[in-house]
Amino acid sequence: MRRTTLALMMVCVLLVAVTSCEQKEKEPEVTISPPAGKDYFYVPINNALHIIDGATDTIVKTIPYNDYIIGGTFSPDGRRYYANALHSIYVFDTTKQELVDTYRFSTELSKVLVGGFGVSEDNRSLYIISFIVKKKQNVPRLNVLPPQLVVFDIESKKIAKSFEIPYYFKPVFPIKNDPDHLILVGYDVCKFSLKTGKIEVIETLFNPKKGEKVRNCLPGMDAISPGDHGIVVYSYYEGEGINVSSGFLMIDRNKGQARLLPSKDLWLSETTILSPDKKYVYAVMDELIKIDAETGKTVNFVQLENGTCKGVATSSDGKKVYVGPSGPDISVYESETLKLIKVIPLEGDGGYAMHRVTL
Amino acid sequence: MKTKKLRPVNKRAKMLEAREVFGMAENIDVMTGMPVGCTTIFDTGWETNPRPTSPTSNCVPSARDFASCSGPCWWPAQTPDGITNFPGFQNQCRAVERDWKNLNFIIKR
Repeated sequence: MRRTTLALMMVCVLLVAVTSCEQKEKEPEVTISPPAGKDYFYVPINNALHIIDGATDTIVKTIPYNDYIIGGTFSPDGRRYYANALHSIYVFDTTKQELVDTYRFSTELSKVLVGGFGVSEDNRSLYIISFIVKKKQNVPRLNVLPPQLVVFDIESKKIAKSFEIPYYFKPVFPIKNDPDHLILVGYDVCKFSLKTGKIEVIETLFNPKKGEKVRNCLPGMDAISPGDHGIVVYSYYEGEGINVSSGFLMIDRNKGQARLLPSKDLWLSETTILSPDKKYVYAVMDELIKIDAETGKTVNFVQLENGTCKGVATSSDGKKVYVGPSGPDISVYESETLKLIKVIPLEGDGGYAMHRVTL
Repeated sequence: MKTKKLRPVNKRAKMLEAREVFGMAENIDVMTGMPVGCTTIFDTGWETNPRPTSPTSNCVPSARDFASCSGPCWWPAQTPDGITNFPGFQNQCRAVERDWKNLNFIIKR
């Protein structure tokens, strides 16, 4: 009798343990519902920022400045749009749709190149990758400093901290719920500690693991929208000569992790985005390609009628894909069929920046 | 870039090495520390375009690459150097397909 009771108790304990393990494994997936509101697309071009209304796909505002913009991002609360030129950052208010500030970093004797930047999750700081070249007056000599990661306090407009970083990084991503770390993408994908300045490799590109090939990544545009799923996708390719394969580097800004999704077909694309429902990757360069985000299989592709594009964005409901603006236009595609719906003409050429905010 | 094999042999070379012109710490490698533009490594395989389908053959910069490649870029001869020498090139040419005739970034007028 005692043996039977003991055996029953052990079975119960085992069952409880197994059930709790299963529960731990099956963590509820965080579902992202599209933010309620109206879509606006911010498109910096030569000497102006176009704001496009996603409901009518027309330009509703053009804000002039005198510069060429190489990148941009919204603050996590969606209230500001930061667009970086080579030597400065322009700040736009998204509710007033106005240029409200300009952070100029270069002087005659100190040229600061803004390589890439990100906005902290509390909307209070910018993390800027900068390259600084100093020259002495009347002396034909340059002093090239090591690259710096600068923490720029937005309220006081002062540098709060700076770190010397060992080599080239371009994209910078704050990690949600982890204000002490950033993700940097350069020769490899790294986690950077804002407390100690230490760098930890979390995924390899240039320094592959044993048996893997060197990967070249194209971190063209940071396709981030406030309130999105928090996953940034970049394309990469690996191999030599004709023996080349491609894939997608997926950076999870929620967890501070990165993983690779090998593509079943060879695609060379410059800019990529994960659809709001996380089912598809849209990649662009000479084509618009729709990839299954689970398997890496090509679902559909079309050649871009207006030529090369380096920016891509989706509507918040995922029904439309916006491609542009390397030339003076943006093409709007139906995401289901990749059918061209509309071409929006712009005043000038753009580059790698086109971002959506839903207000 | 300094290497262990390169040593200054005369007074002038020693002076040069001591000056700020080399301005970097010993552990900074100029070749691997340089900005590389739109890719994480400089890899010429990128230009050979191994795709079996259209568009085939080597990549060449098109008009639509003009503005976006004016930063730290692969096409330094074909596009204006917007970082140092031609920072305001976009004032001459907002859209290259339309305004290319206004460009004078090769010879400063």
